[in-house]
Amino acid sequence: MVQRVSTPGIALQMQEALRRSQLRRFDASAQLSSGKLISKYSDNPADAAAIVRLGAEQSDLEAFAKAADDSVAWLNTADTALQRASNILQRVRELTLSAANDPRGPTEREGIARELETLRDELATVSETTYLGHKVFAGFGSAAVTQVAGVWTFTGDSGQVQRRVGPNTVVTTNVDGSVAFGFAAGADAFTMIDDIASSVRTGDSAAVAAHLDTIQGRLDDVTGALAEVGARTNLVERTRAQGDEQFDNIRQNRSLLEDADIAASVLSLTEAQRGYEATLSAVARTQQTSLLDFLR
Amino acid sequence: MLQSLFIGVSGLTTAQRAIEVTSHNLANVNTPGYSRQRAELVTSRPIPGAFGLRGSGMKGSGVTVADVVRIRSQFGDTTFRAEMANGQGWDARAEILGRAESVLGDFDSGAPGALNAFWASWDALSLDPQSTAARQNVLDRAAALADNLNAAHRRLSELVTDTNARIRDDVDEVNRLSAEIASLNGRIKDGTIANNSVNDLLDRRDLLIDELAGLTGANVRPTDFNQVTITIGSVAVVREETATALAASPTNPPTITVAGDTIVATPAGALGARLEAVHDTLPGLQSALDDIANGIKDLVNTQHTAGFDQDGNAGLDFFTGTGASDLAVNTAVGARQVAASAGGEANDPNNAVAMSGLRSAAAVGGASAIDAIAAFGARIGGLARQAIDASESSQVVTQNLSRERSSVSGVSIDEELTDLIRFQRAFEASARVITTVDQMLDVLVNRTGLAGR
Repeated sequence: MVQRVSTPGIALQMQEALRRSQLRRFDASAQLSSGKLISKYSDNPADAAAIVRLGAEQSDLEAFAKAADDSVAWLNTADTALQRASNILQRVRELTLSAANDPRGPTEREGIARELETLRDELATVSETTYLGHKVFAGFGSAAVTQVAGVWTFTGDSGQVQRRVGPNTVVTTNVDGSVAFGFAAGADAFTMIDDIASSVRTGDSAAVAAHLDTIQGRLDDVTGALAEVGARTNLVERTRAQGDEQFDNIRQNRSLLEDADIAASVLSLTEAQRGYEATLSAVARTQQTSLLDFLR
Repeated sequence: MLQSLFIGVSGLTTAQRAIEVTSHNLANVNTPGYSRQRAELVTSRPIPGAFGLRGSGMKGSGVTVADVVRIRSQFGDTTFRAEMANGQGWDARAEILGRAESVLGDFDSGAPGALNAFWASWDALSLDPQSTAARQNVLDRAAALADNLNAAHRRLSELVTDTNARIRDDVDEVNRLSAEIASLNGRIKDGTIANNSVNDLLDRRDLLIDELAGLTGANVRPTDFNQVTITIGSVAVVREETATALAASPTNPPTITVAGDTIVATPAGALGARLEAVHDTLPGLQSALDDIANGIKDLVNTQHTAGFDQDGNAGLDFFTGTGASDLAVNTAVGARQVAASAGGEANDPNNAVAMSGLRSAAAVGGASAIDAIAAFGARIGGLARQAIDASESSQVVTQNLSRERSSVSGVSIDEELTDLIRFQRAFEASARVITTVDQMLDVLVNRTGLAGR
């Protein structure tokens, strides 16, 4: 508690008051012009750390979204290819049934056999489906199926092409060709069609009919693969949707922590400016009079 | 009669002396560290008169200036200096930590951003493991991350170097101040012994002591003949007329010792804060940065060496280095050597997928890499915030104490002008007395004995 006011004491007080009100005005104006509550760690260490973590989550979600989109494209490609394979196998079954029930003459039998071989080649093309240059059914290999002197072999591998589509979600985007085309069951679809074609050519209806079970087996394999692809597609799309929602939430949370409310900032600056003007006015008034003004 | 004349003269000279003191105060109203002075007026020694006659015994003989007193509060000085030391210490810390917290860069474009981009580059690679562009991108992002950590460490090192230089400058300043104070002590002692007023010298010395206290938190103890002994820790840098110089050791970070000796001085204040920064705080931060760099390096290398590159060879160490200052991408790892494959085939993206999963794996003491960086930022930010707040509150206290001191020692223009008026009046009154006595003497000398004239 000051009991006596000295001339330098007045100056000290005025200087301190000016310093404080200028500082307040400076800080308020810096906040308004940057629009940020926090621009460095010391502004609010705990919030700053939270902002860093949220920023990392945002970056991660962006990467996961790209991977998810890529995965969906792969899976859609696989889906389309498997549908085609299914259609081909159904046509094969139609032809087989027709040939089994009504052998017809050699020319017609030859026509059916030729169509079967065309279907077989179409199926081979389907097995080499690619997405952006990557084989969908060959694992990590470069070709799914090869034919040497009438012997069909699966030349892909069991490699699973994986993608990280969520923080804890990894999906496989390709399909095991050896299972889908029957190699794993020891009765691949290509050899099967070749066998059907030769049976048709011989005109042996019973031999032709004997292949129907195998055809069903191959159709089941393709259906199975389609179901798996469908399930994975759903998983990726769900994860992607969750990620999008989370991305919005994070953006909001981050904004709450980091961004200054414009209205509040303008108000702060106005108050600080008023305070500064009031201090200036006080300083001006106090400095004016002393005893010198009153002596004759 | 003549006695009255002399009394009048004493009034004149005393008023003149008092006005000198007042004008000295007015001239120095804005001088930093000036303490107002006051002339102490006392009646001069009374003169014994004729024995037994009360009316004419122990006659008053006028006025004299007994002393010119300096108005200064010792207690005010001590508390002010303690707060100065405290405040300047926090100021120094705030300055150093304010620079330190910017080493990590922005939230998005600094170290956190570089780390996030690094992880994302592995995600992108997993989508097309044979793409040269994607492989090169991984190397580029890794290099950017390493550069970022290198730069952070380097900036801290620069801060240490700058602070070391500042410490040496501070020690020179301390020596300059203590030498001057010791020399003033000598002059003050001489003046005191000769019964002279040493007020202005005391003011100058107090100003220097204020500076020294802010810089080092020195303790001041008054000794005889108005001298002082000043100690920093247990080292007496000023003992009356002797100043003991301090020296900063040539090693970095420096230790402060008595020059030419091994006795260690432990200052507080700004110098103490800087020493604490270069010995403890900054090396601690550098070490934490090293932990982060090594954690990331080890985590990435373990996964990379478990994978295979584009040619089917086992992955090499991805990062090399011993800490944050030399973290770098292994020069032997080019685009083809990035180990994206888990099983060995070039189309296999699964090691890249595994790499991208490391973003949430424990990298530094159980925390993920990004958590460790966030915690590091929060740590520096917390220290800086503490220093800034303490500095600000100390500033307020120091200002208050300064005003208190000024309220005791500061010159008030109104007071001095009032004194000026009253001493002027006293001068006029004494002059009047002399005139009156002169007239009376004139009667005695020129008019007495001329009967009837």
